[in-house]
Amino acid sequence: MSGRQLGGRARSMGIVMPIASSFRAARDAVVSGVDQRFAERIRLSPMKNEKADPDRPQVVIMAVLRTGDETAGPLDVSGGRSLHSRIAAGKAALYIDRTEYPDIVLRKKDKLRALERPGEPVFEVSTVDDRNHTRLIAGLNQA
Amino acid sequence: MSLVRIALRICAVQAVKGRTLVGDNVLDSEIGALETSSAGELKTPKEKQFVSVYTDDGKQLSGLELRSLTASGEIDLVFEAGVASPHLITDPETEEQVIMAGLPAADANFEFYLDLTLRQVADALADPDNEWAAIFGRLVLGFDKCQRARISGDTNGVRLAAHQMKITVTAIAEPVAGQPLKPESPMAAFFAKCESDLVHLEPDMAKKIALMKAQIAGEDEELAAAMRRYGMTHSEADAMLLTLPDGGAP
Repeated sequence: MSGRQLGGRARSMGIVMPIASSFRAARDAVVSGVDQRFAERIRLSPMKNEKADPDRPQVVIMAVLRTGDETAGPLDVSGGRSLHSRIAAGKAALYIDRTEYPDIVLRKKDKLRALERPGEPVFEVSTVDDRNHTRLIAGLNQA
Repeated sequence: MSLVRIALRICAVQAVKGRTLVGDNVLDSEIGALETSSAGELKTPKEKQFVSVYTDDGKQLSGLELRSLTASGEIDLVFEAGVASPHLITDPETEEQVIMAGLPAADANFEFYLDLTLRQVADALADPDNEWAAIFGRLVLGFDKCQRARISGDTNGVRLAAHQMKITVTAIAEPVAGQPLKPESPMAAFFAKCESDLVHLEPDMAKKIALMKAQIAGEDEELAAAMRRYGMTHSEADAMLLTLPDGGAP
């Protein structure tokens, strides 16, 4: 993907950004451009053994939170045993700009609260993808 | 077959209500999915840990006489208890979560909570001071089998664990239509208990009791009652000299 194409796509989103000279610069420009539009206020609450982690303080960041459709699924996620009860829930994901927040470390079971959404819903980190080259991505469960 | 199943289920729900860690959140045959609210606090009583009661498969594999369908046979009675991450109580500042006061929301504590809850279900059903359990006990001739199953997972958008206890019970026979219930029978005790304790709490209970009673109403002659009980045809009854020449029962 050339810097020229990226610049064109970003401009069509109404975001003004310089023509990037390297792949890394282009990537950072796109990530930051998207975040300007879609990021929302998120409060991260790192946890350790079900308690607030003293080594990683609570922090409010701007990041992109995407929630999927809530679907009614059986409790029995693994199949096999037939439970009758069902529960409605949906997966969500948090995308954090690594250039903006290089120091954030996420771990499984950390909590986060979407401060700008009605009811300020809480989520729990279930998976952390820290190998992605653009963002730190956390798979979330409802909490 | 059916009236006894209804009675078993209602008695089981009432016997367990308020006697386990889930409090009054004992659900009768819940079909729809349990909802989880966006806010950390608990918005409706259903959005918390639960026990659901179902009457499931039933079977009577032999011993049905002629065409009689009054035997209840073996009925699977299912108790399900579950905890999911949105059911927890969240501290609005620290986001620390607890299942209940003093019990952090660790996976191990999910399991502890469910094991203890189902133990409490078993205790509630065996409690001699529990009037609903006493009627439940009279509707059941014996427990044949008890199976436990558990599931857990975090791939559907919530972290959850659930336990199931399936008790296979041999239940009393259905009351036959056209024969007044004896006042000392378990079903009569069930109706009386519903009318005294439940009707004012659940308005639809009055209608349900009325419909159940209508299903077994009437006063047959003794021999006609026998025909009804065994699904006997008129020609069979004639051959057994159970009918009068005019076709009616004596």
